[in-house]
Formats: sequence, C-alpha cells, structure tokens
Amino acid sequence: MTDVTNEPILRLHAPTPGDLAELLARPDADLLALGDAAPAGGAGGCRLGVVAPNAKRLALARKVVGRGRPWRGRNEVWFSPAPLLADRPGGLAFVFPGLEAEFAPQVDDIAAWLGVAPPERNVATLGTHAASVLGVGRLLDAALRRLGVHPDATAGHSIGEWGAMFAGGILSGPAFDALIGRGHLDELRVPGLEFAALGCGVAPVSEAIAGRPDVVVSHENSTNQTVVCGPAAELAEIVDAFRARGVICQILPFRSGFHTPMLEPYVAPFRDSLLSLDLRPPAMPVWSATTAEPFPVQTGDIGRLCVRHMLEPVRFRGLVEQMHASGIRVFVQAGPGHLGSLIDDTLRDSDHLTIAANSMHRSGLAQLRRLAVALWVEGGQPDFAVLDADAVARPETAVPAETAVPETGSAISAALTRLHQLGTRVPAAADFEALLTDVAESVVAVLEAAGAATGAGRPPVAPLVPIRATDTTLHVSTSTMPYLLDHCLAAQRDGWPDETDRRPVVPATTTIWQMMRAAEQAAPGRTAIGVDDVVLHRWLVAAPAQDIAVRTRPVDVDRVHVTVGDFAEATVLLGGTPELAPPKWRPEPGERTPKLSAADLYEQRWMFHGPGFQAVSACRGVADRSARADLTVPDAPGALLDGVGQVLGLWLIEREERWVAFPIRIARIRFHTAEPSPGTRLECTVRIRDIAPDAVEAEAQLTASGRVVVSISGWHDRRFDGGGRLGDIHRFPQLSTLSERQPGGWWLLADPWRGIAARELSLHKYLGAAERDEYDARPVRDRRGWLLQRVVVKDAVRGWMWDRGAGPLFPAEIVVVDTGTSRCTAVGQHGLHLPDLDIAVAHCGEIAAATVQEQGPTPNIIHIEEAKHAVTPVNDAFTSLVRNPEGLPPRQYLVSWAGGATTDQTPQRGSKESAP
Amino acid sequence: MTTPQASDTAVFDEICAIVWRVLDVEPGDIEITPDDSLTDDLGLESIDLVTIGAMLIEHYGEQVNLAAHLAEMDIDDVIALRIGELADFVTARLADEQLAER
Repeated sequence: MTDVTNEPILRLHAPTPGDLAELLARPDADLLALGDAAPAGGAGGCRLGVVAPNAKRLALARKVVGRGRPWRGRNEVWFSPAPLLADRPGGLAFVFPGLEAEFAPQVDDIAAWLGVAPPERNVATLGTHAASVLGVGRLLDAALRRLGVHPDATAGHSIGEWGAMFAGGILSGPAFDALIGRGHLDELRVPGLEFAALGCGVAPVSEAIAGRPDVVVSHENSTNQTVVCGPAAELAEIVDAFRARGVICQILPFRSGFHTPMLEPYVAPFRDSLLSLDLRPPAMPVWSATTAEPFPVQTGDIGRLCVRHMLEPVRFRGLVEQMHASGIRVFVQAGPGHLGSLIDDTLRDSDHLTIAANSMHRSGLAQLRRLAVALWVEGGQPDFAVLDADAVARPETAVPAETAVPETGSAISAALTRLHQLGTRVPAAADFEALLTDVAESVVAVLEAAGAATGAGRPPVAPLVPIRATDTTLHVSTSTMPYLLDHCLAAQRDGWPDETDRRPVVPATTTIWQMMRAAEQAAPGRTAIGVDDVVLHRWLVAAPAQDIAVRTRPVDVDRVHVTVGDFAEATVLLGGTPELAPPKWRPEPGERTPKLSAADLYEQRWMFHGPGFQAVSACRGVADRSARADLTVPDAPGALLDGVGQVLGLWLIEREERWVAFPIRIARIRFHTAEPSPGTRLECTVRIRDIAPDAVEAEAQLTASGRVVVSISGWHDRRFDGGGRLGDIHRFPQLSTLSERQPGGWWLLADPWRGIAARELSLHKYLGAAERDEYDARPVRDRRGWLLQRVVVKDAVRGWMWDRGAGPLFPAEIVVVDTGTSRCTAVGQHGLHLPDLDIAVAHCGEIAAATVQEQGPTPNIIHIEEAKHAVTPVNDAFTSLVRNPEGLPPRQYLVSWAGGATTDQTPQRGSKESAP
Repeated sequence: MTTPQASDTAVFDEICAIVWRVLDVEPGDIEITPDDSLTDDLGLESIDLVTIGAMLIEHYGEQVNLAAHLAEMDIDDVIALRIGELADFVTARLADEQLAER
C-alpha cells in the first residue's frame, strides 16, 4: 500500500490542449520544480493533474495531452480537454456503495484528520457489515464536504441508498444512527436464498429464469452485470449454464433476499423502525434505484418508496443512465470498493468521471488527494489547502488563527517568487514564468470582465479548527439574563415581589441561541451556520436561578451535539460556507390583511412578550396556509427566531381557537448570511405544512431585500386551547375567570384542561409559590381535583370582590386556607386585603363548585354528587343538574348549595340544568 | 495454426492488445508485463474480466472459456490473476484444441 503523505501534485491548465502541450514541452526538471504551486484561474480551458510526477508520468502526460482525449487517473495522470464541471453546475453526485464481498476501507487517517473517532468496521454479520459500510460512508461524506466537495445529487447502491438519504437531507444524523443501530438489519434474511452475479445484461438473464418462479432478478447493476436471487440449487444450475456460454459468474457471499418479494414476510420490524424515523423532504435530488428517479418530496411518499426499495430490484443501471441524462457527469464513490466500475460499465460510451473517495490500495488521505486532483481537472474547486493542512486538524491541538493556511492567492505568489528565483539560474524557468504570468493576466482579465459582483475568486480558506468536547455551566437567572423579565408566562401585579410567580422562562429560541454560542466556543473561530434536530424537552425556568450543565460533543468535523441540561438538545453545524439560500417564496394566493396589527398582538396580550421579545413590527398577510409579517430584530438573544414563532402564532390566532402554541421541536435552521443584528428589519413568511388539534408543523423564511437570510423547516409547535375562558385567562388573568358564576350565585368549574401541560399553564397563573409547593406535594391522582377547587375558590372570591367594586385581581393575590372539610377561607397576599370570608367548596369527578359569603351566623354549604340515574326535579332545595361540557366524559352532577350565595342573588328554586 | 510454444509471445501480445482496449488506452500507453496483476497493477475491475472474457471468445473461439476457468479458481486467486497466467491459460486451451483436432 502506498502511504505517502502530501505527495507532490503537478497541476496545469491552459486554454487549449495545444497550449498545455507547449507547457509540457519543457524539460522534466522544470516541471518538477513547479512543485505544488496551485495554478490560478477559473474553470475553463483544459486541465492536467499528475500525482507524484516523475519522468514516466510526465511522458504519459505529454502523450495523452498531445492526443487531446480525456485520461482519467490511470498511472496517476488526469487530463480533461473539456472539464466536465466547467459549464455544468449541478453535475456532481455522491454515490454510496452497498455491501461488497471485500470491505477494506482506509479511514483511520481520515477520522484523525477530521478529529472524530474512526467508524466501526465489523463484517461479522450482515447487520454489522451494513452498519460499518454506512458508517464509513458517513465519514467520507463529512471528509468530502471538508474538502469543499459538495454533492448536487446523491444516490446509492442497495443499502447505500440510506447513506444517500442521509447525505441528501432526508435522514437526519440521529435518524440515520437509529436506522443503523436498532439491530433489525440482521433480521432481513430469507433462509436458503443466495445471490449470483452474472456477467451479462438483464435480457439474457430474464430469458434464462423465465421458467423458474423462485428465481428473480434482484439487481440490474450495469450493462454487463445482473444479479439474481433464489434457492441455492437453482442458482447453481443457472450459473453453470451461463458459464458454459462463457459468461463469468459468481455466487455472492451474502444471503438475504434483499430487494426481492421473498423478503416481504421478514421486513416488518425493520420497516416499522424505518417508518418511525423523522423523514424530511430531500435537500437536493436523492435518486432512488427502485424507480431510477429522484425521491419524492412528500415524506409519506418517501416512506413508501423506502419499503419498495427493500422488496423491488435495484435498477442501478437505469439509475446511472437517468442521472447522466439529468446532467450528472462526476460520480464520487463515497466508500471503498467497486461501485464505480458498474457506473463505468454502464456509461462506457458517455463522457463522465467516476472517482472513489476511498481505496484499499492507499491511505485515506492519499486517495482523497487523488480525488481532489481528479475533481480539479474536471473544473471542480476542491480545497487543496485543507488537505495539506492535515497537521492543523489534529484534535488535540487547537490552532490559532494566524497559522491559517495561506490563501490560494498568496500560494501562487509564493510559487511565482520561487519560480522567479529559479529563472535566474534556469533559463527555461524564466520562460515558464513569463508564460504563467501571461496565463494569470488573461485569467484576471476574463474574471474582471465577468464582474466583481459574482465574488470572483475564492473566499479565504478557514483554518480547520477541531471541535472540542466541552462541559460548561450556564447560570440561568433574571439577573444574568434580565431580558427574561420580558418572557414571563404568568403575569402578576406590578411590583409583585416574588419573581418565581411570574415564571420567567428561557424562550426556546434563546436556548437555540445559547447552543449555537456553546458550539462556537467549542471550536473557537468557527461560526454556527445551522442547527439541526432541536428538541425542547421542558421549560427552562429562570426563577429561582439555576445552574445548568451545557455539554458539547463533536459529531463529525462540522457538527457538534449540544445539550442544555435535560431541557434541550440540538446539533449545531459550524462553518464552512453557509448553505446557498433557496429562492424566496411567493406570497400565497388569496392572502388577506390580518385583523390584528402588530401593536394589537402585544397590547391585547395575544402575545405575552415584553418589549425585549416583541419582534413583529407589522402584520402583512394571512392566507389558508401561510402568514407574513415584518420583524425588527429585538435586542434579546434569540428574539429574532422567537419572532418566527410569533408569526406562526399570528396565523393560529387569525384562524383557530387553539391558538396558544409553544415550540417543541425544530428540524432544521440555516443561516445563509451572518445572523441579522438587532434593529435589522426583515420579512418573515411562515408556511403551514401540517396542522392537528394538538400540533402544528411549519416552515419559515426570513428575508431581507428579497434574499433569504434564514430558512427553517420542521418547526413543530404544541398547541393549547386558546378559546373562551382559557384564552381570556391566558391574556388577562387579572380580569378573567376560568370558572363561571351560576344562577344562584355559586361558581362552577368543569376541568378545562386537556392534558397535564395545559393544566400547568393555568396552574402558574393561579398559584403563588407556597400553593405550588402544596400542589407538588399532593399525590398525582389528587392534583386535578385539588387544583379545580383552588381555582373555583379564587374565581368565586374575585367575583365576590368585583361585585363590591374591586379592580383587577390576579389569582395569585389570593391565598386559600383550608378550614375544614369542604370549607375554607381566603387571605390576600403581597398587599391585598380581604374581609373574613366563609367559603364552601366541593369537588366531584371533573367539576368543582364554590360559594362565598362574609362570615355570618349561617354557614355556607355546597355539595356535588354524580347523578347516575334519571333525576327527578327536586323542589324546595337549591339544586342544579350540571352536565359535563363536550370533551369530558358524558356525566351529570347534582349540585346543591345553601347559605350566603342566596343573600346576593335570587336563587332559582328547583332543579335546573346548567352547562358551564 | 502456430505451435503452442511459439504462441506464448503472440498470445501475450494479443492479450496486451485486449487489455489496452478494455482500459480504453492506446497500445503502449500503459506498460504491461507478464507479472502484472490484472486488478492491483493494471487497475482492472472484476466487471472488466467480463469484457476480457467476451473478447477472448471473440478472438479465439468458444473453447477459450475464461468463465469456466475462473469458476475453478477461488476468489482470491481470481483477484490476484496475472497477465502471464491469463496468457498461459489461453495458450493451454489453444493447445488442447490442437490435440483434439489431431
């Protein structure tokens, strides 16, 4: 095995093969003296690359250049008279191999270069073999991107298609890990079935198996290779027959029945785990070998195709032909092995390049070097500096910015200086220098003519700073994060002394901002350009103050997994170059002007946000499935993306009763430029992808001057009821009640909360700190009834006070004190004075009821029982028949009361139905 | 028909011509020696053996059945196959044919 690091590379380009031949006519010594000088220039002309040039290789180079026909890699020489990628944006695909008999990847040095752990290589079982192939593919995908080689499309052979789904954005990293890690791969095996590779096209094979119902074509691999699957004995007969005709055949060492209908009975566990994954729309064409077309965009369709992939033949030949027809010219094999030879076999007469990112014949970095040369020769722009800078990437050494790899420009001038010095001794070198200068000048002239607006020339090469694992502590409090006082879930009276009662919480988007900063600190000098797979487990509350462990763990060279305690986690993508912005969406037809203005949103308390988070500056439009608004970036960290959530909120408010919503998960965020700074005005468009009673999924674009600055997909909010009294109490707890006053003056509350999360939203609006402790101390099964009683009492007391002219009263101002079974009194706290009150309260099933009077001779009484049978009207008692509202079990209750309530309002005698 | 002994060089040259064609290079662009392994040294892929097999049949006739020959070898030997061995195989099959004709 060759294992030479940093082998010299000779790269030359010239307008025509004739000009290039002229350059090569120089003596070998002059050419070798050029060393690694990176040639200047754009993508045009014709190009030559020679790895480790020597006399023999230079002689070959002269020969192939003289002939003017492409030469792609044999004997370390690459030549392309008309580079394949020069005038063809979108012409490069990553192709992921599946299982091959031989699996000898050379990736340890690549893993070290990237600063990640080497992938596992274990071929003990079909499952571990597959996992190893996919793991190596993922590492190479990261290595290629680090080299500045980005795919325009992806594809894969057999299980390699899952690698293509990862690289093309359908599977997230965690989803990919889950797919590999769940261990169902080994179950995908039909006993007794073998595969045989036959050295011919599919037509003669189909003919030969026509009379054999148990044998099927499983892979149409290439022009000259077809794989059949069936019982061993039958395959042996088929193979013998083909060999007799001179066709080379091989029984393959795998037994699985994959890609045949025979697998159907075995596929369930794996299919279920596959379909449970969070599939996303592809970020680029991801080609399916089942259909020989790009994957569909709808995730449901993607799932169905994944199942077909397991049960239908691999049509790799058709796939390659279609990809070529679509404009793909360069196939980068993202793995070791021989997949490229199947592509070459199929595209024998069509201009293309296949190049492996890994080879068993040389070290991983040595092969990447060849790949870089091959791609450069075809007009690609691999980052040679990063490749040479492997020492920079050792994980244990963080590199200060000043040791950054020089820009290409300075590498050129350094080389020209060396050449100039050489010219004083070697006359040919002087000629050569003149020629190079001519070429450089003409290139510069062309590029300048093309206009500086295109950003001609390359961006500076960033040093590859490895990502470190870090463990830090984040102090979360309103003193260190005063802006959180503008993000409190429970409003309280001005001057309220107990901050915990306001429930200041860290917004999800501020947590995302914190995770991006943590990721940047784990790789100083690098910038977060995206965030994937944000999961928000629970609220991060800032009062009382908390110290939260923030951990960063590198995933690969550009990705770091960040956790904020057990509150949130995400994978942050560090630059590199920001991803290209997608085109700006057009407004949805049928858009109307929102009923609410930006000021209404905050003044009418549809949004609870204080000034630090009031991002919406104008509501522009709402439509069936979208909303648009102008945002002005507030000062508070993370407030910009919180504004996106507010625009989603606007859409819900304008349309739906269940408008209270909080983010729980965001699949993908990309910053296409630097993060907009406070004060920047942007337009935000939110599109609804899916809506259900408890959840909404949206995607969003933030744009400035018509260009997309931030794009977001897979934004999942959890929705809560914002209709009626729940909405009122959410917006104005000091003026609203969850309970309803009944004829007769007593108060009734039927459980308004669908689920514990909804209950806890109200809880914090009703209970002060001491009462919350009391709630927490109660057995879980008692909590609902206890809270229903607290709420109904507080509402009854506030109602009693309002009847007597009191102003706004927050529920937490009232503390309920039990004074006996079904009896209590209430006292004011933090400044509220209440008279001595006699309160009766009762609870049964889903309802609670209360009456309030001043202490007097006749005690207040209230009682509830479930009315299980038909109820006869009861006379001479204060009694009501109460039915549960819709959404609760269909029960009815008999509520009876006596006492003070009767003194305030005229009770209705006899039985009466009442629905709260 | 040439004698088996004399055919060695001729067969070797003919095989070189076939390999160059499969590699899509001009004769002599890549030097070939009998010791070169088809895969490691010449960079041929197993799928290329299919083409070589077909060209051998086209050139010499069906008795030179590389497929049948490879079937008798184990996979490591196939991968390590050298040009000289390929030439020996062709020479031997041509000799068998001559014997059969006598």
